[in-house]
Amino acid sequence: MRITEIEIKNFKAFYGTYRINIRKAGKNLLVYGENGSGKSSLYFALKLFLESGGNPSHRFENNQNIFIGDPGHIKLCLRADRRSKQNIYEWSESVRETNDELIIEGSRAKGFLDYKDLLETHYVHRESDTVNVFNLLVETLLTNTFSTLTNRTLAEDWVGIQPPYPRRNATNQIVTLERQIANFNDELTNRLARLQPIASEILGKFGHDVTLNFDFPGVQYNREDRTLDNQEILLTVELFERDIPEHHRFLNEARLSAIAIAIYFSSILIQPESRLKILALDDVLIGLDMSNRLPVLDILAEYFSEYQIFLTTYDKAWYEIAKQRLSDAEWEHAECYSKKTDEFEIPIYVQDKPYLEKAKEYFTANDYKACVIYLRTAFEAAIKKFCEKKNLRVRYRENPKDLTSEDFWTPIKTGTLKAGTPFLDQNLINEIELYRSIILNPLSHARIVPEVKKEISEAIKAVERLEAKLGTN
Amino acid sequence: MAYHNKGDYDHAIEDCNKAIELNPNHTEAYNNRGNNYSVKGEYDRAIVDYNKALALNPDFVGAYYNRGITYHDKGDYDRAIVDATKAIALKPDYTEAYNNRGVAYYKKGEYNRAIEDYDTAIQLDSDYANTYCNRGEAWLHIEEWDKAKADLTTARKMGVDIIAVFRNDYKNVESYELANRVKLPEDIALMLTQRRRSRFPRTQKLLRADGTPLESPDILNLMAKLRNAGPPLSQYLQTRSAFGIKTGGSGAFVVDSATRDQLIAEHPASADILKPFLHGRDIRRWGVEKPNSWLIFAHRRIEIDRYPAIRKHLEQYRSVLSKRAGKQKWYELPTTKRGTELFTQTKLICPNSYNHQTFAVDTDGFYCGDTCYLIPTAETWLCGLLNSRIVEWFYSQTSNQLTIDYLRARSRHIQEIPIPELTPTQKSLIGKIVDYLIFLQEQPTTRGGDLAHARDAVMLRYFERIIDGLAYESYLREELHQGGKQFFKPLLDEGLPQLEEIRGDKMAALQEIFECLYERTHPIRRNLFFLDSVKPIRIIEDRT
Repeated sequence: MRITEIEIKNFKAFYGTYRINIRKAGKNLLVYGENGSGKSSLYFALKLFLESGGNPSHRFENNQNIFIGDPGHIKLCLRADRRSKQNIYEWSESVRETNDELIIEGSRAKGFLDYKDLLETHYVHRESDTVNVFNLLVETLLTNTFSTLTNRTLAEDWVGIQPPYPRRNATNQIVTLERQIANFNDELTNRLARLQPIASEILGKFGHDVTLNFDFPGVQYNREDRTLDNQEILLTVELFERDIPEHHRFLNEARLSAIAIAIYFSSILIQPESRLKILALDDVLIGLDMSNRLPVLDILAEYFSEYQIFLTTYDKAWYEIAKQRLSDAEWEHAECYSKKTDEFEIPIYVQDKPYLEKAKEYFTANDYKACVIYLRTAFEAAIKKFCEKKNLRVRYRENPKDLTSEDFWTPIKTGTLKAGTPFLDQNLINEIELYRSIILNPLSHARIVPEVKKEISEAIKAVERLEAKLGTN
Repeated sequence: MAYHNKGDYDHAIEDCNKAIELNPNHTEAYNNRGNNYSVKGEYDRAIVDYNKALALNPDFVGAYYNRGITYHDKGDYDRAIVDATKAIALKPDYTEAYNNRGVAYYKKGEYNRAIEDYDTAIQLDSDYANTYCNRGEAWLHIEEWDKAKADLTTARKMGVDIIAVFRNDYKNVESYELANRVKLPEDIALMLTQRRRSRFPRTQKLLRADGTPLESPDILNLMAKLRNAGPPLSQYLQTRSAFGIKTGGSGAFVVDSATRDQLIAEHPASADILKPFLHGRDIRRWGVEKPNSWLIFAHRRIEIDRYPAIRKHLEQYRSVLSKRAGKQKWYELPTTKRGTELFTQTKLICPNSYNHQTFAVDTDGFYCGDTCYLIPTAETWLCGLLNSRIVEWFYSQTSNQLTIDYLRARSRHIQEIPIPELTPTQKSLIGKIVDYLIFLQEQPTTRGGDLAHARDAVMLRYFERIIDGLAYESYLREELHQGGKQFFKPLLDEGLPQLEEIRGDKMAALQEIFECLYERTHPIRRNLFFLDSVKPIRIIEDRT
């Protein structure tokens, strides 16, 4: 069962309707996105969509885009294979089709990890010679895994044994608490024993020929102090069956990130698979150096070939490398940009629909803010593409991100063909210049009022002519 | 404030408290809190709340209505009638209020007035099935047999479980006849004995301020579905279950092992009437903790002088024992002589108070005190069924003897547990796993909390979950099969050995079976892992 299309409307950062087409085959998706570009909103759209089936407390309206009054939705198209019929599931304020067994099961078996989860590796408690990964495992990596003993998630079991604790003379309550603690300990011990060999094996793919060991003494209720003691899981690493001396040095943050990823993957791999298998990794590779990122792609291919994978990153260079590396037959890619209006940012999702088309759509819908954003993007994309195509000399900036539209526009404006004729005639240049100052420049439009509707309409035409002239449409 | 499960009434009360704290004049919050107290059986608190709601809004029909039900449940029928009348005065087409007033008159024995109210209710709403049933019962009392039969037939056609309704008030036809000194016509007696498939159970429902019943329709439908899965336990077994022997509090009849040895040493005949004895607290899930107690089985008409050592022992308590009420001799147990086979045959036992279903199989012939409930049967698979999550849920819904955490074993409610129809092969599969569980329960490593043996604790629980899965499939076959979830078939395919067929290290063999069934790709593991994606199971496992 694969997702073939995602439609997101007015959800979190998503403003308006976005359609993400992952093709009939339901490919994997690699997304580049600037910070605040909606990349994480996509991650959460999938995550909350899946979880909403089993959790009536997840309400769409709590995630509605705050700048828009129009109700939104998330729709997923699912298909068992290329030839079978597609089914659409919707989650919105008024519709909850995520109550379906398929979605609930998909949620149980899913893998969703984001960069924030891995930040936890920075806070891992190091004592002289040991690394305590208790919090990393219990509060982050293993939270969504299910206990055979209680049929609850580890997170639920963990919350269940948090303070306030019973009074010292409340014997029955103490016995109940200790029973819950025993369940927690047994389950976690069982879990660690089962994931340990797989985690070690996966870590091996990073080139570390090591064995991971977890030493978990079991948390213990201290009746006297009414505290939960022994909150520790000591991580040790054996290299060729030898303990690494000073292995806390071996376990630097980058390696811990790799270990965390290996543990997370193995925790999914010891649970049953659902029909709908989704694995989403939001920027989690960011904590790894480049040499450790490529192995992750190999691990995904080897262990999660059955899964539909959503991989996002804000690292453009890494995005380009990954794009090269991942086969087009299995992977679709897309880019997200964030465009400022005077009030808020709108994510622009780029896959195959031309910006100018989107701009016109919003114009028809009387949403001028969104229209102008897409129009500007269309303009910038056109001139940039033309410069690349013609190999025009663009001003050098240390960080390509700092390039402005001026940097691309100037060489086009002044440039000529081999024969000496200018790329553009003066009329078009003048027109574009006019609209640049009032519409196409991010700093120029303070407030879009209805009176400028005509100007916007004219600007759309101008950009349309420019695209035609530059041959970039 | 949508709390449906019994345990959640406390949460709902909390919510109301908060609402009242924010707005001390929140009429509906008082009404809602009253409803929740009422369901919990705290009638006086409920009434205080309804009073408060009515003081704030004297025209609050719902509060009169609900207070009326609460008075009814309390047994104060006169006040119930007054409140229903008030509700009717405020809302002349209040069908349910007429019905409820009718019930109150009925309980008072004023059958004609009850029938008048039922007539009005039916005029207002001819689809009100419960009222037909109630009117039918009222006709019975004034011996209008034809009218009674007509109404009961209508009610049954409309899906009312008339037998359950009848049994709510009377144990059975015989006891009704005895109490009312009449003989019911045969056809009516039959209607009230032989169960047909019905859709909805009758219960008098408390209403929220907006008129919706407190239990969700999902829960009601699920209950009805389970009820229809098969005959009730009592009918299935055709034997009588019972509580154990009342031994009195003095400790005269129950002795420890040291005393027992001493009594036998004093006189060997003592051994004949010293029986191994269980208290409710000795019963674990699946098996019993080896007890350290012995019962002096001094049954009725015992020749006590044949047991001089025992007699001497009992003499110490003679003055206390003589003061007991009843016709027994001072040295006899208070009950009449019971057939000893109730104890000596294979039976299922459970303590009379527990927080989870705790049935055990006893093949050792233990004698039991009155803190134990006994079901004499050799069908040990029933132990698995009775300990399953789905039966626990059913039982917690029917048994209104809920305290905060503990359920009480109530004979009537246990006997009403429906037993689904299964093939002998299916029953023997459940029995096989029950045997595994009895064995595992006896092993110290499965108790949990010992991290060196964490896997064994998980194994025991996993086999219990398998029992849960089999029980779910027994009651909710279609719902499970729709999502491709099966337990019987993949387990039968495994060809699991009977426990006694396992030669050598049974524990190692069970661990091997467990590892196989726990494999992530095994259908049993997968179906258990995703079990609560099935809607009714989400309700039962509290995942909604």
